[in-house]
Amino acid sequence: MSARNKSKRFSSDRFIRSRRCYFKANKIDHIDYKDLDLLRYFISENGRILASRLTGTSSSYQRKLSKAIKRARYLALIPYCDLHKIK
Amino acid sequence: MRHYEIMFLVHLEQSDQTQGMISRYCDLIKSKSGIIKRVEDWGRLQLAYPIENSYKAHYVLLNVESGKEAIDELQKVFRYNDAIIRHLIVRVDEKHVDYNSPSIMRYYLEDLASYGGSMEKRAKAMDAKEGSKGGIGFGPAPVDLKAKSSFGKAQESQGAQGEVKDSDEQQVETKEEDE
Repeated sequence: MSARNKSKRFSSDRFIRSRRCYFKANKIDHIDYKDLDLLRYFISENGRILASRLTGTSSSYQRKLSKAIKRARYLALIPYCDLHKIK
Repeated sequence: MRHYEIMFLVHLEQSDQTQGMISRYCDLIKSKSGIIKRVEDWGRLQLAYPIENSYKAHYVLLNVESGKEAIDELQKVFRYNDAIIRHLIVRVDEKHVDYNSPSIMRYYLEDLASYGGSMEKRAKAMDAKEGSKGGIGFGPAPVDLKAKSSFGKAQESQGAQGEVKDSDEQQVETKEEDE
């Protein structure tokens, strides 16, 4: 696909792809699983991890991020989904 | 020696015994020639989902520099102790952790306390500061005043420059560590 066709394909997405990786732009090299604000920024409303094509995250950071999110989920710091019973 | 980060969750009913457990585990690690770098007791927090039919648990964080035997012993203890409902032992790189300062969760909890412990209120306040709801994901963008360009320029809702972290930094000086 040529570059022009690619941009046409993505222009109809709801979220327009960010051009920068958040972590590279802010020079964060370590993603802490305890940093809930940062993690929540990259999960959707129903608790799913957002794809890097939506957030613009580069691949190595996306892997670290998903690892951190999964650890935080295991420790019940963030939910797995939006259907959990919360008293 | 390797640096490990240990987090465990104590069931709410045995929450009173947490202090004793912490001191016992620290002694265990020291006896195997380990060094305790940081201990944090976060207290009882609301869980994101119920574990063993309870909605709160007592969180403890330990940062440790030790060898393999201490960690193996600790894992055995965690496995056979019914009061501990979750545990996680992770190896960390020294460069990425600053033992002199409290962990980032402390800042988060203090900020949360300023909203009366309600996560919904805090989320609403953060959204209000930005002027719109969420950027990329569920929560508002974590504060970074250095970021020049906003994410997703075409969407006007993304002007993500909140000021939450500023209030956190002011609270650092008044902080006291539990142990």
